[in-house]
Amino acid sequence: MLFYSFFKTLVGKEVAVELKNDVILTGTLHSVDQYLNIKLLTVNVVNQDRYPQLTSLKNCFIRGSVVRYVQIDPKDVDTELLQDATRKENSPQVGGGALMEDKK
Amino acid sequence: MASTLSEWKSKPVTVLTCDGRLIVGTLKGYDQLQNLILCKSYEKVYSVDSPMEKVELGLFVVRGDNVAIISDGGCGKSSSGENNNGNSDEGKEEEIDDYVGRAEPIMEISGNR
Amino acid sequence: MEEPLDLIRLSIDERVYVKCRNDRELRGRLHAYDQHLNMVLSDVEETITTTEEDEETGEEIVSKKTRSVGMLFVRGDIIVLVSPPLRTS
Repeated sequence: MLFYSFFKTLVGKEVAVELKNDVILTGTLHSVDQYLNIKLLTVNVVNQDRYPQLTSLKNCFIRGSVVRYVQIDPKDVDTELLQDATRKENSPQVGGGALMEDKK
Repeated sequence: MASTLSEWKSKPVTVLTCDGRLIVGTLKGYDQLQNLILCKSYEKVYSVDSPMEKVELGLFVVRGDNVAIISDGGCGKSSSGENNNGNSDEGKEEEIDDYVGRAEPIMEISGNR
Repeated sequence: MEEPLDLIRLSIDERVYVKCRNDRELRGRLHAYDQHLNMVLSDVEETITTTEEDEETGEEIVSKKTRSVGMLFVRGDIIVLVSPPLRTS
């Protein structure tokens, strides 16, 4: 649930989702679910000349399984908080829950 | 907060499948795995040799594993490109805004399970 | 107890090398991971290696492209291997 919580902190931010077929979509992160399916609003396709048939996409549901990368603006990420949450979630004794939210 | 498809139920959607095809249809139903029921659907076939062609598909279920993107609208924003081929005699829906020119097909999603 | 993920846990806040499918390699600072090896890396340099065959000579032409990304979430299912702290680069 670590990355589910992580992406929830990025709702409303601009991200670029790169799919496993090299298509890159930019847009505002609207929501995410536990499978890391992502919903983007006001989507734009990077490299419109190559993908003119995708320029019409506006609001997209992207299946988590087809995502390769999500590019994020570094200033939207609190790396200290993220590392602490990662250490806790992966600590040998206990599996954690929504740790990132607890700290807020 | 969850990403759901509920707001697109009974509305026209465009689905990009993992093999790179674009299918437009009305979202009649869906489940957690993104299995979809699409009705009045058609595939938009793009190639570099000829303008977009529509292939009627009708009513069917898409298995969630093969879904990459689901987008609202049968296609919205207008897009430039090759001029629309003079095939407007079908004149219905909001297809005028569709990109109907030539395009290299979209790659399939590799290593998807 | 020495499980593979324990090694990765020790690499938090260090620069790591990540080899991915489709001849992609990443170098970046590790900030987060989970049991699927989903990750967040910063100051990432991605190298994509492509090999094309010269149509006439049949020779293999290897080319490398790199790009930089400030902050990147990487989906675990494309990851082939993770190598802890880089001494170089």
